[in-house]
Amino acid sequence: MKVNELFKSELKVINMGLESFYQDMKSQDVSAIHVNWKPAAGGNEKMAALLARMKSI
Amino acid sequence: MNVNSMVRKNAYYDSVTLMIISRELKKIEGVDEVLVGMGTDLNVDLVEKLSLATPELEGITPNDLFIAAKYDESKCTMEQIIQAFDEQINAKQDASAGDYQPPTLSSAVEHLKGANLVQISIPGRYAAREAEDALDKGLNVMLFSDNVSVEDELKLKKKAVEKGLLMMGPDCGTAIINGVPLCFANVLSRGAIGVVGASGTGTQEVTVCIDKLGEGVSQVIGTGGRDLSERIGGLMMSLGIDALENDPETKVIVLISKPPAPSVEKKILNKVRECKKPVVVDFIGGDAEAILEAGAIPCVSLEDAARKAVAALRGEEIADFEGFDATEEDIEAIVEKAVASLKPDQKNLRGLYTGGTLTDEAMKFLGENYKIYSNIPMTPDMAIEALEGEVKGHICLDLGEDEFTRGRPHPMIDPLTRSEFFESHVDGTTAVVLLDCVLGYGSNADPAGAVAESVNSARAKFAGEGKELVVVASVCGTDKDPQDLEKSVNELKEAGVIVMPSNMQAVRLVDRILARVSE
Amino acid sequence: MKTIRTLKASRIAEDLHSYLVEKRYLKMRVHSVFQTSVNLVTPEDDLITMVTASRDIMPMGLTLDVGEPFEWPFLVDDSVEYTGFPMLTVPSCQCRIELQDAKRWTPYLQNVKYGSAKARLQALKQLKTIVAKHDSLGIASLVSVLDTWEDVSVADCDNVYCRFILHDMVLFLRAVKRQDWHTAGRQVMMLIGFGPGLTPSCDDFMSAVLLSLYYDENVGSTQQKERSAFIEHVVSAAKKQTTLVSASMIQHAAEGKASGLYLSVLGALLGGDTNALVDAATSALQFGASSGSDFLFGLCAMQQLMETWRNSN
Repeated sequence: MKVNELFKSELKVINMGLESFYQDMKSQDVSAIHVNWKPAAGGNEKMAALLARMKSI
Repeated sequence: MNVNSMVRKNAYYDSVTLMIISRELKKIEGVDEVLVGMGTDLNVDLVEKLSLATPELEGITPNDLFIAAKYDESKCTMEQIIQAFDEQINAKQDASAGDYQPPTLSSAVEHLKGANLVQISIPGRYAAREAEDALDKGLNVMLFSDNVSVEDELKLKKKAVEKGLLMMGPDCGTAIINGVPLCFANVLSRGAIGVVGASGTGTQEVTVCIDKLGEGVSQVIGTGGRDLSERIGGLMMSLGIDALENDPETKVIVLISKPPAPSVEKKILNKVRECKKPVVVDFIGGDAEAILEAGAIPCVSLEDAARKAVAALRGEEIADFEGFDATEEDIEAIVEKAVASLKPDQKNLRGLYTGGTLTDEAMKFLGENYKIYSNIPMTPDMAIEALEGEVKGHICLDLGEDEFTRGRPHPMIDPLTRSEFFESHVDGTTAVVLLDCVLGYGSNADPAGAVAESVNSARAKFAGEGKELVVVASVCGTDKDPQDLEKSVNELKEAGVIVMPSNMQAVRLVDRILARVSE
Repeated sequence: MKTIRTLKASRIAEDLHSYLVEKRYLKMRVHSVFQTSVNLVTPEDDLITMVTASRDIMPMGLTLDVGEPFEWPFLVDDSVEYTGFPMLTVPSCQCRIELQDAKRWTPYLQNVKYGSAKARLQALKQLKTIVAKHDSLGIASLVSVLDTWEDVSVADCDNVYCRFILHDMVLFLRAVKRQDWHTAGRQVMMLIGFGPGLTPSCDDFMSAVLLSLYYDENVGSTQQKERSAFIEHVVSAAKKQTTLVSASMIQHAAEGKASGLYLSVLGALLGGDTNALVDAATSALQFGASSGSDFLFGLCAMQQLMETWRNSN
């Protein structure tokens, strides 16, 4: 199972959302990167759903 | 006092930066008042009204920035204030300039080679989409966000199971993978006990107790609170059990959840029956018979789960733990002293919890013996709404619930919600306050300090009425947590709080006190 | 040899798109440069706002497909040329911005669904709680005035801006409550341009007022002329007495336009969708372009006043 591969590897984290969680990773010297996430299409729900669909095509 | 001002022509800094900086400038020693703003007529009016106006402001236009200050010349100078302003502006610009922050998950994957887990805490309605994207990219997911629909959760977990990936959450507060605490988690010794938990602070309490008993954890997998519901069918707990069974580091497995849906309980216990490693199961208040029948070890509390896991690991005798670390005489002395300090009209409990599962544990035990108003009541007539704002009888609250936090961070992060309840709900009829103090990453930098402050001001209020207040707490934390367990315990003790070694022992102590005052 | 640097726009506001396709040539200059946004100013003093991916897209704006931190290659007063769709060029730094792949973004609320009176009241209550709990550095703590407004005093104010503006703000709100647009218009002079921030707090407040009026479903019922005169009055007062960035924001609001997150908050508020509102409002406070809490305060005030209009009709 892929999970068991994770248990044997070095944890590398992508953080998306609260930046403090990213700071926590950094303070423990965990390899991490913070995504400067923002609501897609300026928070326009319909637009975001549309974009997601376009991406999957 | 000296008054001075400075104008910068056509200088633009964004609103939030300017607002924060003017607050910072006020903290400089010797500064009495300082305004930073754009040179509109009305802003200049304000400057004049505060007697901060100087000739420098003449001819200013709305597109010019000004700093106007009143300060004690013997302590600071205008140059220092301007210098501080520039430093702050530059610091603001540098703060985020440190690390590259890609705009999307795809570009993050390109930048962090070998990334294997995504931690998501964006607003719920956007979270499912990002989580799905992560699973599609072969990444494990820790989904902290709530407000994700059951349909989305099912879809995500099915996909994760298909790919053999972790899909922890939605609403998953804690996990420890490869020794790294994620979101809200304590710093624990590594060891041979693997945990799968559907309830955040329940998992924290069990793992902290394991650490205090001198053992450690291999992996702590969170599932999110709905995993064992009929609809989700325990998909992640099943995957977690498989993963821990396959993990050579894990010797004993602990499962933690509120009582599952009956069909799911059966499914999970069937899996447990086939598991070759010892399994300790705490379905908080669930059916012990069924667990025994599945060849697993049932528990009477979160702390008990930790003790049994440690005993199983060490090959020691496994027995229910229903008492205290301290001797019976010591406990009786504490109860005696507490009860003696109370006046006859002090009869009520105020449970002010930040941890959801810790509240459950308290309610399950105390709710058997007393009628307690709560947002998780034993019977519908004891719902907190029934109080209609009035404070009376016993009350026990999970302050982390949406109804109390809307628009504000969880009380484990921002202690203000609990401080407010201390003021509004700890009244003259209160005999004992029961609370938790959760340490670890994600939590507030000094939750014990905030509790101590509330306790001290409550005591001052009580002293006015010639009364004393009994406060019983437990600290969910280890000596390796960033807040420091020992310091936190001492802060509480200095405020006269009785600090018990676990939530369950705190609950039992409170039970004894309430039994005595309600005699 | 210098190479030409190409930046790509990922999104473009529809109003900017129409504005540009009508023109064949335009020479602008860089008005202001911030960490995550840059304003360009046209010869007619219109602002065009370019933002990086983490910032909310604005009316007359575009989003650049770049990560952060992003070092803007141009400086204040650099000239920017537009020589027909789909490109902007900045000759001083050999940089061009391609627009052709940008997705269109609508700076308006489309197909507004108005919720039941009860749901909207619930949503309003929720928003007021969120604003009251937010650590406001502007005037948003005046949101408490909305509940106790026959009896307010400067003692309730937590900062110098609130204390200074309280009296005029209450006079303004009372006039709007009576739908006395003439007095409200006069009172606007006492508010526009006031407060901390590049867009002073009262301007954020006022753009929420205009935006709410634009999406009032009872528009056209009464006093149409007086209301229009009031709105025009706000726009012209902004041109005279506040920053260019503020005046531009207020102009957009008068036309029903605002940044994406602000529109989401208003949409959720009008629809009485409490869950969406909590998400949108917290995002607006976190990611919003300017003094988000002052804007949300303005929405609260107007929704509450409009509620009293509905009840009195």
